[in-house]
Amino acid sequence: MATKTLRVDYIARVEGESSLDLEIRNGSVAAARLSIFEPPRFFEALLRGRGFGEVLDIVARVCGICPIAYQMSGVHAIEAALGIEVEAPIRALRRLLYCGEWIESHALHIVMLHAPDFLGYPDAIAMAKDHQMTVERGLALKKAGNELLRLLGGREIHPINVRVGGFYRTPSRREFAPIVESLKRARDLAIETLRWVASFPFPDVARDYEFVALRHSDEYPMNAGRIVSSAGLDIAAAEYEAEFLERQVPHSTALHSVLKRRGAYLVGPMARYALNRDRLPAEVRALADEVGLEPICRNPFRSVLVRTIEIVYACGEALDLIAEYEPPAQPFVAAAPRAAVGYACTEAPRGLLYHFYRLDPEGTILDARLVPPTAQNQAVIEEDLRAVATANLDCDEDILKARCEQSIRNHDPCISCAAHFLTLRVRRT
Amino acid sequence: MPKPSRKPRLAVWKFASCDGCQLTLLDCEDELLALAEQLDIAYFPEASRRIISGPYDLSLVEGSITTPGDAERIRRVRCLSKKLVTIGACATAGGIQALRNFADVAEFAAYVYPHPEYLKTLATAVAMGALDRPMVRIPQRLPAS
Repeated sequence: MATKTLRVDYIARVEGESSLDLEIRNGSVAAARLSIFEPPRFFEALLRGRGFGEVLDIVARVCGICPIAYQMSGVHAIEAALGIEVEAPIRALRRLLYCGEWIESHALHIVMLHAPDFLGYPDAIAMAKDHQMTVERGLALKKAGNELLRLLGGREIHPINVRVGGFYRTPSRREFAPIVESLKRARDLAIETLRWVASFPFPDVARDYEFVALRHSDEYPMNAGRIVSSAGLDIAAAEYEAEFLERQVPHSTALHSVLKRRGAYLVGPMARYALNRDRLPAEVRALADEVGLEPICRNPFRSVLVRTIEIVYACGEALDLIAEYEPPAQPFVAAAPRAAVGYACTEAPRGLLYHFYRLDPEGTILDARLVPPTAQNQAVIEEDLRAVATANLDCDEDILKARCEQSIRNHDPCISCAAHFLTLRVRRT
Repeated sequence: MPKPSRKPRLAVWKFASCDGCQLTLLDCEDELLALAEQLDIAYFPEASRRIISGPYDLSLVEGSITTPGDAERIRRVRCLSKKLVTIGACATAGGIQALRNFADVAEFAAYVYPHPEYLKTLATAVAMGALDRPMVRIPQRLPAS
């Protein structure tokens, strides 16, 4: 029996440590395994016993790339538990903060991590030798996102300004002036990046995903909305654990999130866009049409286009939020502890991020559960790998490996996030 | 003709961490490309597929040591590097995951994982220089006055 094993020991240009094993037997893919060897950090366990006011500083440290996502799901879950409703300006500032994170995280992925795959470079620095302007454009975009994080969060990594009930400090209108200029420029740069990305060579692939994302009555989703899917799911965050399951694969330490009724599903930009395109402003939809981005994109290699559309949107949305901003009367409302449970989902750059907390009467955390987007996408990433390996079996090994790595990077996995909750070793026969 | 001097060879390593400190390198948005001209970025998997084997002139290390494998790996990195510099709170002081140092790690693992026996993890998360030193236990909360 001809068995061939391909191994990529360390998948580059993703956040975190993982490896890939492919087993090809008699000309077909017998196994496609993404192993995550990121050391567990036990966040859910170490949250117990901490006061609710400490949660946001702790969960931010799950991820250096998307700390706002952890703070947003965390703050909304705790406010839900404590029965706190924040004022409209606080809500707007939180959305603005999320715009900053989407911009910096997506720009990093599009230009630094993903684009080199399409153009055949090992990294963005090598790519810059031939495409200096495009790399500089990407870095400028990333910088614009980080400027927003610094203004509203105090710093770009593990920001320190969000608190239960609001913010420690809210900015005056005047403080936004320099950022408005850089966001206007960023929006132009994002549109140029979109046209550049649209020129990439995309393999012709269509996958049959069940998309899962938040959906809001009139906004493109970030901090609020119901959890919906392309197969008709429509639930509140509190019902998440009734519909989704973290499933263990035999002989492994893996937890895959699956829909109890149907199995694997996809979260992230492709899902958000497919389910919420009608919530984008007409001019953003027109740009999507101009570059040929279909209303429902099922080709994971084209996720890079959707991310770029989301940056264009986030720049415009940030400008609108700043234009309408009136500082709140007070930066936060007081939070009185009580025994309660709270649930929230928000849209991290990589997709739906679920948090659950149970508090005692003093506001001490008794239980915590965090389900990051990459844990939810794990099953789909492996299905993609199997499909891409099957389609490229006749290729040279290096090309096959590169295509498989690219297929993982299509979903911008954040393994540092995911590995607090799972260590993955899947065998399929 | 004297040979042109070789660019310093840089490696960036990740241990138990959130990737944020590596990200601060990529956050040198205005300086990144100019900086990259001055260095040979020989090992930085978060940013590049290209891997050049050591030795390295400078290794930057992120994260703390929490698994038996990483306790070995940091020693190999040390051997491969002329200079080794810790970046960030985890590598320098243990980081947020060092909260386990005051707890029962087996209980932590059982809380998060259905099958904690599959995990290979150390009872402590320690800074890079602290591996061979006895653990210093600091009270988690100040005693009530």
